[in-house]
Amino acid sequence: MAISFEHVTFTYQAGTPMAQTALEDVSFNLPDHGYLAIIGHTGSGKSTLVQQINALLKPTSGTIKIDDFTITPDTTNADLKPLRQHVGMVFQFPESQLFEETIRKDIAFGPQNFGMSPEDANELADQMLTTVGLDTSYAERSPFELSGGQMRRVAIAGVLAMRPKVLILDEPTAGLDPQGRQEMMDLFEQLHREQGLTIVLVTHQMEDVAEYAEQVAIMREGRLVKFGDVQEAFGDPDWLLANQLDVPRAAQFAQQLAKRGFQWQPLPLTADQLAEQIAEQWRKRGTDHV
Amino acid sequence: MSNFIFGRYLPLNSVVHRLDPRAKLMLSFFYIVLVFMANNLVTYGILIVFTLAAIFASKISLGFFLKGIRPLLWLIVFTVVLQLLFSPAGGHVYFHWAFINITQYGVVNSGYIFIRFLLIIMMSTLLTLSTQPLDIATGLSSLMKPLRWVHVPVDTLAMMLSIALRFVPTLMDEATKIMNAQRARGVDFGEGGLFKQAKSLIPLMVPLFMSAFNRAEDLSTAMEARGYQDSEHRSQYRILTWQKRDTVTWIIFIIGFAAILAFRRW
Amino acid sequence: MVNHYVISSTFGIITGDFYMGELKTLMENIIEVKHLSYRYGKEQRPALNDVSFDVHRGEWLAIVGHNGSGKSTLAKSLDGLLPFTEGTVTVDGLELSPETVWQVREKIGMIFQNPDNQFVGATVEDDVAFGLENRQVTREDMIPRVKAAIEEVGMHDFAQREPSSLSGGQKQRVALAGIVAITPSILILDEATSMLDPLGRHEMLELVSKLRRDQKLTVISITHDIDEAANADRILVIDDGQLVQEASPAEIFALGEKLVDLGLDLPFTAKLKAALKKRGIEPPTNYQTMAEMEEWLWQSLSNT
Repeated sequence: MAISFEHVTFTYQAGTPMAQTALEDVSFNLPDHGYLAIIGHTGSGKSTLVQQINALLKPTSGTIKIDDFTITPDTTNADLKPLRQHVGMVFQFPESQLFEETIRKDIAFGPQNFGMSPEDANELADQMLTTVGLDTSYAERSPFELSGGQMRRVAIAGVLAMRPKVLILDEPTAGLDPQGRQEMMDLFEQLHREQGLTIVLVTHQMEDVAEYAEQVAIMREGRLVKFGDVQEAFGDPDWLLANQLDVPRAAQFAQQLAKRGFQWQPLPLTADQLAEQIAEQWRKRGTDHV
Repeated sequence: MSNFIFGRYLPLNSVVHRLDPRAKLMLSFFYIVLVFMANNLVTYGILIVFTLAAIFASKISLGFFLKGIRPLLWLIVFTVVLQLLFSPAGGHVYFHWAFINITQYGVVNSGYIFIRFLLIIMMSTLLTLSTQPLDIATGLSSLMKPLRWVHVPVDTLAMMLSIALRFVPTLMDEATKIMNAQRARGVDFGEGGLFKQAKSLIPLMVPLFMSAFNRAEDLSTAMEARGYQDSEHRSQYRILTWQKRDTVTWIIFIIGFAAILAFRRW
Repeated sequence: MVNHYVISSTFGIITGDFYMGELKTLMENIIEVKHLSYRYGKEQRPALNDVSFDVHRGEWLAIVGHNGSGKSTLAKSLDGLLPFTEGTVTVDGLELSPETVWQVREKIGMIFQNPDNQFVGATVEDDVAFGLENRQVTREDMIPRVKAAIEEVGMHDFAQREPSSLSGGQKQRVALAGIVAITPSILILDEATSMLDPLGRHEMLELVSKLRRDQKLTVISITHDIDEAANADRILVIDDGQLVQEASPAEIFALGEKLVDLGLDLPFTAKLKAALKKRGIEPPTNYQTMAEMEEWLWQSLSNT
């Protein structure tokens, strides 16, 4: 699903003395099957932005289009329910949304809310368990017996079971150990590649952005300050530093070497890209002494 | 939820805000006694002037108080109508049908009940708008201290109250987050019949309880690590000091008390 | 001549003693853990299985391992927060037992993972005072200590603030202030930075380094964060409740891609080396910092 924001502004508690503008005049277009990373400091409006995409929050002004759905300040909740089925949302620490007696029931909960029969939903639940890398023998167990990382997988399976076309991920790897993080990011990459899911990832991990994302949106104080492909967004490390954002390690390293006279075309953002360009120079210049 | 003003604190710098919470708590209680002692136009007049003066001194706009009454409006109307229709015979009878009597006595009484409600709500709203929850807790525990002599664990209760207050915003945020997560999974909160609504609360309440229990466990570990053994053998960082303005407020109240005693119909 | 001999031998003994003394303070153990085991409730597998190690006074020790490997259980055991079934823990000469547990806790300050679940007070200053109140410090002594501790962590503009108005990083700094106020000799960070954003994490680590210098703290940090582990003098690796490795960061980081199995992230240079190897370039096998690797690449590419 393609997503477009047109002059979207959002104010919390609009019309009261406590009013706080969280998004200001945000416009962008994300193509269908895109992989967008949203970065920015805590409180820059990232989470508010993604909650507009499945209309948990409606814009105070402006329009959001998600394929055929249009969300304006006047859209009613009844119109939005079909949209919520298409836009799956994985919140921060999603394991805190589990509540059913068994894992199967919890995963089947979402699809049933959208009208699927219990039998079909249960079958789908078992399928989703496998997708997130858990054995179907878990299905009858209580979700509260699992480890934190496994609980998170169950919660994600519960979102995937609604068969969304867009998957929103709000810091999905927070609190996991490095191996768990890697497995989780690989899962999303696989869903994106094999099933064509549009992915919107909110993250602080610049390495993940460089590695997986295709488009990048940078937020600051409720405004969208940069939107473009990864190379456009990260190609200028000085700008990132000036905005107190982290620069991917590979880009930092490449920049240090550039100071010694290395030429990069373009600036490498991941270890692989960096190694590729080094290998090229190695072949050109280092053949006689290696 | 944001319209619910009762129990909210409004940070301003006024005499009322700066009063000792113990003084405010005791006076609020005293005030309720006064409201029930008043029983004619003059005494209610005194109380109304008194209440408006207190509100004026707090620098809080009257609009907040009217907002505070709104959620309780139905309760007030219900009580007043009940009083109006079913009060015992007395005075002139305006209307009579089966067991319903509208009498002069009933009209006057329901009028008084209406004013009592209004006054008590306004004063308690003033208390919470002008006093931080934490100060109310400190004030309460300080006032409860004599109960130690009858082995009431006052300090433990105070600690529990203070921690509960501290976690209210945290759990409110958590509840909002869980509600959003379940709405994203197709739950419609506050829609459909009573049964459906009650059922939709399960996906909210179960995770909220789980989270509260986990937090409680973490918190108790952290408290123990920080040397907390029991509530009695501790020193106090936050203490309350009785000021001249507290005494002055008491004197004003006692004058008001005397006036009501003098003018009330015995 | 006789005289000279006596003098030199005395001198020898003196220097020898002095040397021994120096060595003793350098390697003195502030914590000694021997054959520690722990089992949760009726669980089959022990959460800790015969763990023994020492912590030297003044060092920064990192403990790494997967989620669920027993790291946090270990940290809690050191502070007497879990009643371990077998083994001994000695903290600063005191053997941990139900009788000594409160004395041991005097010596240890602990910060946990979730900033929200350890903030007890209703405001920043109340929270910092909490530990002092528990120790029955008088109010006159408390006021300056609370103020100084809040200044120390750079939170003085927030002294009256409520926790709900603070960021995760700020809450963890308040937790540090609470520890500064009670002046322990050991600081245990139990994944204290894992829920913070990169900026908050960075500020927290800087602050811990500063406090360690100023207050001569021994730091034990349980972590997945490669930067936090790189700060350490020594790293312990726990897996499945057992101590599997003990080495310097450089030795641990030299393990390259095996680090992921130990529950640590790969240092960037290890990732780059792996990517270079794939392309037929053989970098040195020892661990290199980013600056060292940059130097090596520069040398290799320009020495033609």
